Amino acid sequence: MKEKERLIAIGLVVLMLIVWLGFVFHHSPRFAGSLWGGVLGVTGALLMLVPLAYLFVKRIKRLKEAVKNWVSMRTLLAWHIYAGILGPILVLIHTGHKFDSLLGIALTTMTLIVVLSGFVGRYLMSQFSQEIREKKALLQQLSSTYEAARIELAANPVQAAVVRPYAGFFSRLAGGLFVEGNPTPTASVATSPGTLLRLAEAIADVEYAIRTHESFKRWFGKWLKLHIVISFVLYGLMALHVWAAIYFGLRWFEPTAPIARAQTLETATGIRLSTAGNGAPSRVDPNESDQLDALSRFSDAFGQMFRQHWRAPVTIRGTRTTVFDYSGIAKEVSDPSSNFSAALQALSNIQPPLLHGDDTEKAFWINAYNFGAMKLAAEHYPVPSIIDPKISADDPWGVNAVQIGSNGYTLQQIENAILLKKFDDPRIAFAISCAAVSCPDRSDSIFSGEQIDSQLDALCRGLFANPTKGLKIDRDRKIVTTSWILKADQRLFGGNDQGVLEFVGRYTTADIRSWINANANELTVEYFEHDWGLNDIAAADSGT
Amino acid sequence: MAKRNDNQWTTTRVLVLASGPTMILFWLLTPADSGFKQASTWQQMTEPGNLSAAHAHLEHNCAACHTSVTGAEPMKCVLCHANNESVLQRQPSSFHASISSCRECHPEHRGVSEQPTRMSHAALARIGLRQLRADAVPDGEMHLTALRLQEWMGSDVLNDDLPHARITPEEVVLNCATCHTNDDRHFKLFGEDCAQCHATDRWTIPEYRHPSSSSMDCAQCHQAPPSHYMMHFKMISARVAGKPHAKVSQCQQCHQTTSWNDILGAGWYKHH
Repeated sequence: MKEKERLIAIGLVVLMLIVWLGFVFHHSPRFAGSLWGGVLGVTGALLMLVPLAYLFVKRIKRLKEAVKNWVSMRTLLAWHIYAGILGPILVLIHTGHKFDSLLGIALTTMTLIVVLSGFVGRYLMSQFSQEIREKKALLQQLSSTYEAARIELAANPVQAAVVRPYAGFFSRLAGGLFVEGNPTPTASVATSPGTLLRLAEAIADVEYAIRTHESFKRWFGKWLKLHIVISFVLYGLMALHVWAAIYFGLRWFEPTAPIARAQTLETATGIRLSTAGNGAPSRVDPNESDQLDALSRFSDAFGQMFRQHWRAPVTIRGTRTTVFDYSGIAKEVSDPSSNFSAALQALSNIQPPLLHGDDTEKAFWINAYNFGAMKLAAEHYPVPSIIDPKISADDPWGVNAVQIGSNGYTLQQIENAILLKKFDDPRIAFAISCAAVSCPDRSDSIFSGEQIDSQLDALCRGLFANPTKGLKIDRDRKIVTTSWILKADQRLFGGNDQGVLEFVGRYTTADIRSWINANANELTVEYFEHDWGLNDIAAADSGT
Repeated sequence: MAKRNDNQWTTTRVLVLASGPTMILFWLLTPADSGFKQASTWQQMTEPGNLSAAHAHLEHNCAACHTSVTGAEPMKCVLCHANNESVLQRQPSSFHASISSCRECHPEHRGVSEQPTRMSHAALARIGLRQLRADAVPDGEMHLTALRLQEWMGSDVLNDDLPHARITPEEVVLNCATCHTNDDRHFKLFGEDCAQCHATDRWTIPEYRHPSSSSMDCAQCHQAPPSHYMMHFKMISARVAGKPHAKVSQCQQCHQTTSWNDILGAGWYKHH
């Protein structure tokens, strides 16, 4: 019975290794998330929990007493073994050999290690014990033979004399070379002094083997603890995996109620889905008036907040800049009747998909970005900059900054997925401000759809009129120093110095423009060091 | 024996009991800004592959696309992709306005250089059927249509009658004209059963057999080009082919079944 169990276990472990090695030939990334992949994964995971039963029943006396009447420990151990190998086989099939994520790789590795450690412990360990038992029996036999030979030899002084010189430690080592062994197999054992030496050697060998086996056994004796510890690590990883699957969503349930969904899509896209006729669907704006209302409420509230906290230029660490009173904005954050709260409220009523891709939309997103950046700073005030661990450990542009409609937007999303994608206008790079000292100076009003073009021009002209962060000309050394934004977003300005100079020329004085054009080929373009510090009135250098 | 069990139990108990406080202590001792305490670190661990270049800016913002339990819902995609008028207002791609699923044809996390588009007609059919099945009215018209289609797709009648092995019952359900009316080079002369001669992964199929090369009823399928009804036919076409007396209705006098410009006697006629 035991032999059969062992053969089945070996077979299953080999099968598991073969299934795992399948990744060399096969890779099916979408299988794990499919319905059948899910069924395999869940079944496998449940099977992998079965081995816990043996672990606890064995160790909790009361439980053991209760369970004993129903199922023997032996049977429980068998379940432990079979479920502990079958489960991993199922989950390995579940992976579809998609070992792409860190967690996936760790989980697979741990699964294999846990099964192998259990297998080694259960079968190699018993192999060792078996071996030691056999070796001990052999030792017994050798010892009695040796004893008999020794007594016989003692009665024969001539033979004894032959062995005597080899009694010392080192001479004993050489004994086998000089003392003749059994001359003929038929001769009596006891009459040959060589046999005695051989017997002694054999005993030493067996003793050594037993010691080695025992130390192996002791060493492997730790396996049980190891097996338990790593399986708990495995259960931890499994919990993370289940969390991730639920957190990021399952693919088992395909979107249902598509009729309702189609209607929301229809509303969301502003496109009527015509079922009767074909050709281009016509545009409908079911919530146009609500939308316009929310847009104007946002501009009003944000505009007032902006104007109220805007302050004329000061110098911060040597850079001349317009600033805001962030401590004032921070107070508005917790006040539900403030402009800040009204702007926030209005944003949640705006449906971005209903915007028309026109100047109103452009102005709206730029304002939303700036509101988001100011909101990040105000909510965590006091902060030295929006790049601060209080806001995000690594990426303030990647955290949810504002909620528009029913969804959160990050600054990154507004900039890259919306503004720069929809509107081909490099001036946007200056209009969206990270609330930093080196960002372009602002007038005291926010952008509006009707005036956005002239506002953006004025913004760029204002930036290049500021010699501390916009544009500095060294006519002698022929160096043009300009805003780091032009370097960071160089792709928007032709991707080279030429494009940068051309853009700068467009928005600077006629005098500088003609000088740049005249010296275009000899100029070196350098960039101001970007000061990410908050453009906060409280940070102003004293006396400015 | 009992003693040994006790010892084993002690070890396990110590391990289990110690793990809790150890984890709490570890949590308390790590600084707040360490990667260990950032949700993004844990999220990155589970990421199966990088996003495509177009979506790379969302790499650290899982919630932009993922909803717990239900996954990447189409509404999240629509947020950014809603008023893509060039897609929605063109007949071949306007189906995007009413489709209820994005991820089936636009899988992500396949690496930066991979474009997130995997066109699959089978997926379109599945989505369409699902949409019908989920008709808000149980046993409503759409629901019943879905059931009927399902039955038909599984029936031997359809499966024995497929025009060729390159088309699946699922794909046969689709109405090609929904997206491809502008592509119909046959100006509807061949009807709407495109699958008779086309497959979803290729335009021409080797299974197609032109009627006998000696057949003369060409007008059933073919039309002469407008130039054939003008002086051009007599002055150029008929002369080039060496058949000055041919009539426009006698296609077989000059044309062959390999291609319309494989002219009998004149060879491959390079037409402008």
